[in-house]
Amino acid sequence: MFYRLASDAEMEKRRADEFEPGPASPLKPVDRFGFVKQDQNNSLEAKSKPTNEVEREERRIRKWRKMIGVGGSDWKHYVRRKPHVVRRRIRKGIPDCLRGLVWQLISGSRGLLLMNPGVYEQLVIYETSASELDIIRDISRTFPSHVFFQQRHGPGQRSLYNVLKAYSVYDRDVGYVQGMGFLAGLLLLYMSEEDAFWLLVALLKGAVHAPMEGLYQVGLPLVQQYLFQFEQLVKEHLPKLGQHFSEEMINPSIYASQWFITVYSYSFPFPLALRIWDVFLYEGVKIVFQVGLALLTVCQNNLLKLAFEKLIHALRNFPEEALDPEKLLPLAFSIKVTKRLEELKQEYEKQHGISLPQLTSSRFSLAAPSVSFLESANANLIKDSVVEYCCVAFAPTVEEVDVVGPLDHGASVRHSFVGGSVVCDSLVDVPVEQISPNVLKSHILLRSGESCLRQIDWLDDFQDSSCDLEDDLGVTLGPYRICMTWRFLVLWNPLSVMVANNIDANLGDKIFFFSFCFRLQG
Amino acid sequence: MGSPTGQGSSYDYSFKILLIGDSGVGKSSLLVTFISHYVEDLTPTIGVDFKIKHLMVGGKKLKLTIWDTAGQERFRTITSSYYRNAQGIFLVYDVTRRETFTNLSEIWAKEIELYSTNQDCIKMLVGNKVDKESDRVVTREEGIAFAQEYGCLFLECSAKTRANVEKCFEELAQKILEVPSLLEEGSAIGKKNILKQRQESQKNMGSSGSDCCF
Repeated sequence: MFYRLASDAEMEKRRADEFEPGPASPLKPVDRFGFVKQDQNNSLEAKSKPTNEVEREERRIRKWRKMIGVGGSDWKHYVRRKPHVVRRRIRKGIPDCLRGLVWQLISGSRGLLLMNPGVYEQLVIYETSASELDIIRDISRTFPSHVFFQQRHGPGQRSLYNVLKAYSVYDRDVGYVQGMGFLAGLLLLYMSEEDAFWLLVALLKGAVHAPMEGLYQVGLPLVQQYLFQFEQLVKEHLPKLGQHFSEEMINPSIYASQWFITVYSYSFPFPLALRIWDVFLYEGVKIVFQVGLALLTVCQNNLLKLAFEKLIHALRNFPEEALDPEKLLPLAFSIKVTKRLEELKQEYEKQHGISLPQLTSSRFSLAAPSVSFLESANANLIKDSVVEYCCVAFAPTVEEVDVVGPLDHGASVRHSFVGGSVVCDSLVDVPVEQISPNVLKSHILLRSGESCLRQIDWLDDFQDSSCDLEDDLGVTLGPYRICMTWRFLVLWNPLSVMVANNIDANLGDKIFFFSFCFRLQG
Repeated sequence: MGSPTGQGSSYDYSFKILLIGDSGVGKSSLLVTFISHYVEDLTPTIGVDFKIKHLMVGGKKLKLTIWDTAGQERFRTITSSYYRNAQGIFLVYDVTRRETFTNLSEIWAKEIELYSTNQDCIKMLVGNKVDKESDRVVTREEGIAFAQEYGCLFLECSAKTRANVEKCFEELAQKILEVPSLLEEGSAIGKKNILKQRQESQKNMGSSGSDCCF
């Protein structure tokens, strides 16, 4: 799929080739990422870099090494102190030689790996999966133009199979879905099988950002939601084009499904895909929307001229100049989507009846996390079938808040129905009791009769009342803000325990947690 | 990518064709072989893909807009909406994998029933990969029997050797041309597109449009 442009002679040669990719010829020239070159003149990589650029690259690597520390030892510290610097540097692109390590650090997969020794091996060797044949069938069709994956039954294909099979066993609801191979393949070019597997887990289960498993579950619920959000964003950001799309009956499922399902790893030039992944792993899925909007923006004038068929073709074959990361990404970053994405998500959920049932005040409880609390919550979970937990935290600095996303609209309340005592262990030292429950209570009770989806509203108010909190706590909060983040919201998921531990170590007493539980009518 | 009012509008009829069938039976390969005469290393189709082919059948210039769909079950929520208004549907199986054949009656025929909006839509059963004769498990006779039962055309082909590939598309198109209701739709769609372009450029309607569909 990469660099499809091929000369006639090349085409002739390839026509004669076998259907299934055989062993890669060692003589085939490859680009710096290991993809077999199909058109050397057209390749972005063909230009040799001037010396000053090489030096700049080396300086950059030195900076990155310093930031990461040996084996990533300084990373967390650095991220906490200078989140803006980290974000800026990641947006400029992680140096290729450090990419694998940094991806593991920012995705939270490292923690999962350390927490689960031997699990991967178990999944690969001892478990069987119903998807094995499906996976095998797709192995030679994943990144067929990359040397690592070309050799039949070679190390590339073997690791790809192992990772996908392990995941299909690990999460039998998801199993194996076409498209996951590209995620796994991309990761395997930068890390070991086991690391790639845990990064996949971190992404799909949501160790840092919202879980992506909905992209692959039956009915592809998250794909549907993203496509809805994207269509609206196109209408809002590019009204002319949005209008043109409606007239031509083009909906984003035609061209953007694979953007979301594979996070641009399926049919986009590899250098661009990598840069998107750098940002995607650190900032979350919004970059997928931003890049999509940026692409449409760049090509808008051309697209507006095209009717249905040529339009579809153009939307699947963007011109090479539009895919230059140095131009496309800055434009993407400049498009603000976070707030609208959340609003559109809620709109989508309302339209599709995903809205959660009414919150009943009588069944509401505010509690510090404790074993008994969780046990009873879990017991009720069986009875009531719908329970929503959430945790709230105060982060120490504005930057910290910025890292986790804007607060003004409440952002994402996430729920997860898996609890467990492990969670409590990690929260033992958290000074929950230091935070005045009354403040919380008054605000929650005030809203408790309203729709659960709107429960987030109280947080806005709550933010305003941080002064009260300061009084109650008898401490100066300074620029403290309430931030609802994955870190706390996913505490209920056993997977994220490590993440929580990290935070304890990192922020120590600078961060306040409290959590409570909504029990909703089943 | 090219001008909107280029040579693309010079056709008599435009038909929408759909390719369905299990993952890995060679739907995309068939299409790519048909379109560009050589097969590249294909990746699994995620969601849907779309290609256009112009060809002459029975003295008529045809434009086929061909929708290639992902075969994996999980993608059916996306692919099901593409059955709408298709005048022709290919049901593709792999002659070396029996389950891809049985799934046509178990699953894919039902999908057509559920989502196809076109009563007269022409279906064609295509057994792919006949180049692997020694691995064959579904006989030609079984294919014929299926085609009779479901009222389909039937051909066996090989995307790899290109055997019968063009014939598949030509026969399907030929059959569509024989059905008046489909023919009418085919011309209406073409006109509608032309009309739209003309309207935009404030020009009169072209020669190919007489009774429009608005």
